[in-house]
Amino acid sequence: MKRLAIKINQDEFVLHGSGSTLALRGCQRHPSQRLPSGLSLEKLDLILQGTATQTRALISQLQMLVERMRLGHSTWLALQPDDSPEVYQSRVFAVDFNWILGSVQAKGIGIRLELQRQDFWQLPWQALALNNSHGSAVTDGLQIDNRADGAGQNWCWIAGEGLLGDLPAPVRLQLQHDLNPAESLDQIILGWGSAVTTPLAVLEGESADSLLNFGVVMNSSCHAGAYGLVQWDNLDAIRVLSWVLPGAAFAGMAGRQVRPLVRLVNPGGLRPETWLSWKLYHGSLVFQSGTQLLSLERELQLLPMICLPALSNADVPWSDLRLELYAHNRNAGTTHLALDAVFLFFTDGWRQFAALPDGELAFGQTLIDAVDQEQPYIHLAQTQKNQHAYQGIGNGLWLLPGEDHVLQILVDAGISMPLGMNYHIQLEYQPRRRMLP
Amino acid sequence: MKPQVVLGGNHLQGMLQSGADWQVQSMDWRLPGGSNEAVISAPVQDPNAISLRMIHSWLGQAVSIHNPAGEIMWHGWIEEIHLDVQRLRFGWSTQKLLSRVIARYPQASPLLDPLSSWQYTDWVEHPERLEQLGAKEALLSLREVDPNKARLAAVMQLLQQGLDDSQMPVLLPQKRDPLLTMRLKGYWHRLDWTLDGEDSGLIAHLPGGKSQQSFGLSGNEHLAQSFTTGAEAFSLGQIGLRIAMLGAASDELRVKICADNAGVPGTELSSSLLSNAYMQGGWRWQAWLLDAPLTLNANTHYWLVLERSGALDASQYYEVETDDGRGYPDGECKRWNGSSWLLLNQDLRFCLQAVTETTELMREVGERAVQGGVLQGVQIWQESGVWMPRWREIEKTRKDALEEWLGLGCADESPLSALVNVEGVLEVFRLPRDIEPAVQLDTEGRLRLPYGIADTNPLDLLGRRMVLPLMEAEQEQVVRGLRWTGEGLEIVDS
Repeated sequence: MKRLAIKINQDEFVLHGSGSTLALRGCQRHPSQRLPSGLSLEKLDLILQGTATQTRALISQLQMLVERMRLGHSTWLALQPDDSPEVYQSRVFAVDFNWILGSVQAKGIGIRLELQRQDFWQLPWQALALNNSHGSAVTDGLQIDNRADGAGQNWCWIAGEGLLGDLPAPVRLQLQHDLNPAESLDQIILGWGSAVTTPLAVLEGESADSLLNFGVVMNSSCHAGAYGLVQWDNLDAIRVLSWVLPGAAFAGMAGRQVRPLVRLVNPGGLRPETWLSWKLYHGSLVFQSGTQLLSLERELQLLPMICLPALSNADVPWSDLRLELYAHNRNAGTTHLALDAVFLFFTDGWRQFAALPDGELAFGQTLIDAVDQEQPYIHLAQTQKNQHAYQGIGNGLWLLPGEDHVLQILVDAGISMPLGMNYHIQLEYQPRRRMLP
Repeated sequence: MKPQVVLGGNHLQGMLQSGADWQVQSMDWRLPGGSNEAVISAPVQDPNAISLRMIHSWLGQAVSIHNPAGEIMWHGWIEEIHLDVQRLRFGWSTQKLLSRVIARYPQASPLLDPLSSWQYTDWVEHPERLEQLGAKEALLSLREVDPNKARLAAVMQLLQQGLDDSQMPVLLPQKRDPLLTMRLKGYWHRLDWTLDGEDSGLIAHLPGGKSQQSFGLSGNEHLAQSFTTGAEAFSLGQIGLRIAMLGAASDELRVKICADNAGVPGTELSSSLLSNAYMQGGWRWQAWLLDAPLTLNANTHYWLVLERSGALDASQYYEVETDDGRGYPDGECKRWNGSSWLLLNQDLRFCLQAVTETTELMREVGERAVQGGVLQGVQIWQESGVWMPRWREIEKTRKDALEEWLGLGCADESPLSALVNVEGVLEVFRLPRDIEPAVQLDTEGRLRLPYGIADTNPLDLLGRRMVLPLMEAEQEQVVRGLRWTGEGLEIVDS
């Protein structure tokens, strides 16, 4: 231990190392102890040697510390374990101190300081190196597109090697709407996959199989240049499209869930009250989702989660899966479903930003979201001010040290989901460690 | 799994300690209904910052609870708020709040109306609360036949009791850190806020009663009354007439519905027989039920014809009450004397009731809730094949009405149920729901599907088939209730 201090707001009370308080001659850490509350109990033995005035001043400081804690002042224990410049911090929630029995002597006094702190230590935010077709190891803003075909990438990956810490670490996102002045962003959806380096392949509407009246429509403004159009007039739930998913792509994903996002073409032309659901076959039927009502007002829509079967993750490869999309419309007439693409998002982490009334991310603005904050906020570059415009949903993005990760993003501009939309993102993480020497 | 609470109004976050978040203590789901109850809590840094005005604005607000992947797993509104400060618990609730009240009092003459023995005042409303909370209604039933007093009672109920949302403070056994707790209810319960009633589905002429007409004897063989449908088609299901038997006739009474043929009854469209057993006991309103609803076209003349099933008999015959006064403007009454129809200067007292399939009634009630902003849509997945009178007196809440119709099930005896899904759409379906594969209950009480423990989307589990451990396949049950706590998801009623 090179340096140990308690930081309370802007003030620092150094217990060990450079800048330590007068009269404080030593500080000994005991092994921390996990409490039933989930916090850790940190016991520090302080040795005071000095004039009576200096000793009184130090005890006054400790009493002040306890009182400020009670008043809710933000308090941290900061530890620099060795000569490296990294200083780890742990948030303190309660402080108490007492004399060490038999330690009050002419040459010094022993005080036992007990702090209840987070059960981990964390470093300040560190930039994450992002990779995709627009750049490698980019830390100052990587371009993300709103498509995953030959014309762009809506995802990036992070190498697990070299990531600091030994606990899952929160990730902070900055999404800079700085490339495409034509439109403001409305809905922003992020999926996060751990132990993967590429996303699952996009299910193109034009590549689907169908036993109904189905055709491929070439359209350069669609994902991969075409969409699939299927029509039916059956009043019962009916399989409208299906795809074969190569089993090899799902290695290591047993029991996990993926969230499909669909891009529809002309949703306003869809017959009202069309409901969709999934059936997943892996030999037999292994999953059927609930049904979801399609909106006529958005091209980009979230569909019900798909749960993958819980088979062994051993080396034996999976056979192919068959994913079937069912539709149900009980109103008489013909339903036309024009499906451009289905993006399968990982859900190891999830963040979905729903615009609050009148909220949007305008050109030039940056959306900032961190797991430790209740709500995301928008930073206005011109005025250097922050404001709220979004509600954040989902458990956030968490980085597992040593594992590769994939971040997938799709955005829309309200009704439309412009495939030509792009922007920059930056990610930071806060490395965490359970124990420090 | 740590569920995430999302409050409908962003302003709800303002008073909470920075970094603190809402903890879900429990939530449960039931059939019928879907999301049922939930309890959430959060520490409060400064209880003084919470004003009564804030509390009032929170009650009734929407809350959704999401699973870690962002899907809504529970959806409802704030019914009750508790604030613990040291040893005192303050409470506020929507339970007593009202924004609309109606009162009813007994009919002056209960014989006049075969359907209701009540008369109703107009609605009394509190505009400000109606704006803030929406319609939260109550019905007062009074014994005294006095419309003015009934209206006054409704006003007093609204103003004196319906505005009170606070509960008496409770002394807690020990000091606690300031804590805000909210009890939430699912949107199915919001249907309990509004009363159900329907004015349409009735063609009737009820005045009169001082005069009678005989039939079933020579010279007075049949009686017929014409009537006119309104601007919409009418699915006739039930015919009511006030009848008495003279002597000890033993035959049955038939009512026929006939098309109009140049001012007299024409082609028979449907008929119904009333057993003689119902005729014992003197004058009363009798009801003839049609086996299947008869669709009558809009704005069209029809006839109802009354005749006995047995031979004419001058000593044992029947009488029906008529109106010899104000008259029915949309039809006329005729008597068949054995050779021709003769016009009578009277009208029968009659009551025709339309019937509607219960699932269609549910759709209509749901769509009214959509108009009121409580629901977002209605989807009927299964028609019931069961028909019920369309006209309904204001008496039950929408929730009670829906539960009664669901309880009747389908004509093929399969059970019906309903839930409000996460998008706020009321879905009505047959049980078990058509979702495969069946849920497996393991010996530790956990629900399993091929992808593992099924706990992320409980609404999708409701109504599904459940295979019990150690049982034969035919011992399957249906999942009807689930409860989540920090320990996990468990079956509570199946």
